[in-house]
Amino acid sequence: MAISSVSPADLSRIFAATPNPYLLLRADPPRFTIVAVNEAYLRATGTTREAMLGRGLFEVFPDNPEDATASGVSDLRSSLDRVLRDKAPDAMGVQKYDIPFRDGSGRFEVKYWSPINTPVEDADGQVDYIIHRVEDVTEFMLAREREDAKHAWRIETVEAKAERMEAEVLRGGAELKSANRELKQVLERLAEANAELKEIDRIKTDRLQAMNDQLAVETAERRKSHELLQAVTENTPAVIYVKDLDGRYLMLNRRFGEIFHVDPAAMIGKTDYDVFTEAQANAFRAMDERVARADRALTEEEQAPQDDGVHSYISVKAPLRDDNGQVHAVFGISTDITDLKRAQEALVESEERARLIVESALDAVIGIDSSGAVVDWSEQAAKTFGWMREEVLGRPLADIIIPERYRASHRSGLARYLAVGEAHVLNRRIEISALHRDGHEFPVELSITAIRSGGTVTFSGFARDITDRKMAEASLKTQIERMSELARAEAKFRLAMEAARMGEIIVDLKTEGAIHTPAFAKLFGYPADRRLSLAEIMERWHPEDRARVIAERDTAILGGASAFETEYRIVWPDGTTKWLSGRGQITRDASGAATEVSVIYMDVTERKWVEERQNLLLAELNHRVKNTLASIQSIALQSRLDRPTPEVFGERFEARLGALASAHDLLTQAAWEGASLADAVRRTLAPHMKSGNGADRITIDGPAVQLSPNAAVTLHMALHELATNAAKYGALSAPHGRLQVRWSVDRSATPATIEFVWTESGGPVVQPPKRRGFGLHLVEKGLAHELEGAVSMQFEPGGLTYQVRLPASAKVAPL
Amino acid sequence: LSGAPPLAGLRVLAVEDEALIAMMLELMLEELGCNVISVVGTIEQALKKVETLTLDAAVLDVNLGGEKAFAVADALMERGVPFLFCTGYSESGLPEPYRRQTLINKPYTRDALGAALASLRSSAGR
Repeated sequence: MAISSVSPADLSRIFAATPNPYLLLRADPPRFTIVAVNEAYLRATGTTREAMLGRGLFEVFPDNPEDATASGVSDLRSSLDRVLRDKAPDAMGVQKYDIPFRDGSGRFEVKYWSPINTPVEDADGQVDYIIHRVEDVTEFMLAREREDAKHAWRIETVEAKAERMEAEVLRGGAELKSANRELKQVLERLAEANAELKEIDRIKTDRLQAMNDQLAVETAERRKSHELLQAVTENTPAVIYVKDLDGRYLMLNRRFGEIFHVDPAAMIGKTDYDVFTEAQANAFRAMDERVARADRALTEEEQAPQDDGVHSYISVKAPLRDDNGQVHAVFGISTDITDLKRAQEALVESEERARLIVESALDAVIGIDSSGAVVDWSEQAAKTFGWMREEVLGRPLADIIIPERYRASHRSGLARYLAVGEAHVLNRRIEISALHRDGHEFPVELSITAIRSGGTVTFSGFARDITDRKMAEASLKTQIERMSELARAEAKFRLAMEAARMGEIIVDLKTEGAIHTPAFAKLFGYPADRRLSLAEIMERWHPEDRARVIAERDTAILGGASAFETEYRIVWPDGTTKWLSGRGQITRDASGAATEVSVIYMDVTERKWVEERQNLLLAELNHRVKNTLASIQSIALQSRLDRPTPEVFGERFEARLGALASAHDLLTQAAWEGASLADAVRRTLAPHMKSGNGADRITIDGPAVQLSPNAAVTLHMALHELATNAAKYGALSAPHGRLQVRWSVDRSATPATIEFVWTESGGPVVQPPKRRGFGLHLVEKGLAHELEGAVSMQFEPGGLTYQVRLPASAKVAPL
Repeated sequence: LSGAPPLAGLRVLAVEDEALIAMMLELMLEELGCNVISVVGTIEQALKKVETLTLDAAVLDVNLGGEKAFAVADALMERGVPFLFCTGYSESGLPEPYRRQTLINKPYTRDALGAALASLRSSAGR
């Protein structure tokens, strides 16, 4: 602007007269001192110049304290700050900013403004003033607020100008404001982007530089290490080489050439077969292939022939991969360890020698020369063999300590060694018999070392008397034999146990776990391979024996016993009852508490059965004997009833005892199960049938009838009485007397009846007895009593008829 | 002999299966002055007699033809007839309920039989 022709005073005047309201503010935030104000502003705000000039903007126009939403001060201040910062005009849009009444009442007049603040820069570009221009839009805003149609119409018609102004002001202010903000944001973003770009550039540059440097260093190092590798490869005593998978040399070092006399350069493309024997080349090739196959480094020992003989190498070979990771060659370093090996062997040898010496310190030391003559004889040798040094020096060793039978082989062995260096006995310990001066042989442990010096050979022998050790060995052997005998015995015992159907069980009392032999399962009625738990075993105990077994067991275990015996019944799963007999051993800990019980069981069912049967038989025998005694007592007692003379009594008593014995014989023949009626009759009558008068006098006839033992005895005794009577007084006392004994079974009766008839005839005239003695008593009452028989006796003059009807029963049973 | 036999008139049932022994028992009882009401040899007969006869005592053989005579013993006990066992077995041969019964072993004498009967009678009289 060409203002240079206008004076400052003119400018002041022009400013004062400008029709729009203006304030000129000093850029001295936060005060913003009012330095100039024009007339239009004074009019618009109703303020005097004096009230404003030199004072801070917000001092003059504070917020309306009545209006809680008043934002005039803060909005205006923000705008001014933006102007200072951005050095750009800032349009504020419509702003409510109430003005205090000048009447000093402290009240405020509602005012709407459209302000715009513009910076004024000095020569250095610093903002030193801000032009604050406002437009009073109060009328318009209030009219809008009232929304009075009439009023609006009035505004429409009367104040068209105001309408235009509204549009302009509103649009202008808002647009400006938002454009301003957007521009600012774009600028900010641009600045940020620029900064980022710059940073990236910087980093790129730095990195490139660093890479460059690195590359330089690496290149230098690589060159250096390559040189170093070259130096090492060429100067190492190791043999270094690279072969392709077909065995062709791709590289080899100088050492290789030197040793195997090849030109390293000429060797490239050739194989081991061009240099070594086929066998050798095969060996190398084999390892190469192993490495390629294994696809990893391998270390093996290899042998290679050299000018001074075969050398040993430790070869480390590794596969080499191409860029694709495929193995294409084998790289190897072989180090000569020949010297090392020799040193090692020498070391081992010297250690061995030292060991021999140490071990032999207490041994007899004997030296002989190549002819076998003794050249050395230690103190210990003298003690061991009984010869003094002076006595043996110069004499052949063979004659002194070697038993006759070994001498020949000693001499031939010595000769062989001297001739071809072969030896069977050198440098190792051998056990051999040696001869003592007193003639007895004893075992020695012997080691012999050959010492060569200057073309001559001497031998040093170290000998030790091992009689004691041998004896100990023998005793050990005996012990081992005894133990194996014990083991065999135990095995036999087990076999015997199995054979005897003995089963063993071991019960751990803490865990109640049980282990048992297969035979044990069989004892309990299970298959041999069945494993039984303690509970399963106890389940088999016979209910009647259970309480007793438990009591016995508890007594044994708690009572401190170390062994016990038990016998009880078990019930097999199939229901069979078996008797077991067990012998147990109780293992106890230090406190005496039982820890384990082992019991060997045996099936004694058969024995128990025999025992029971025996007891039964004994009881039965007892019973029978007592009854027999009682029977004899009865016979004796009743034989006295008819008051016989002592002679007669004795005779009758003996005869009756004989009859009783005969009845017993009869029963014994049939195991005391009973007897047949016919046998009882025949037996009774036998003495009479034997008589010279002929057996045809007596007829016995009847069907088979079985008698119980008691019935047999009673019947036998009764028949005896009848027969005795017949022989004395009846049919059998006369030469032509006859006796018929017949019986029949009447099966029509219930129960069936046995009809027994004893008929005598042809004897003396019969007279009924005057007295009833024992015989008659027995014949009548005895049979009636015991066999419930109905007895009838007819003493007819022609002869006696004795009839008895016996009801069939268990005692008298027709068959 | 001093006065009347102590067991005079005692009505006795004899149960014994072996005829020879039964005859002797009857004889002994008679000599002791007892009134031998019946001599039987089987369990069935004995039970019938116990049921139908009035008895003061009984002599009972344990083994009757191979069978134990405990059914007869039970019947006697039930009717309150004192009795004694005679047996060829040992005492331990008797089962529990009869262990305390008076018992004489075969062969027995008349005196032993009399003493046993007397002891039955005195304990029954109390």
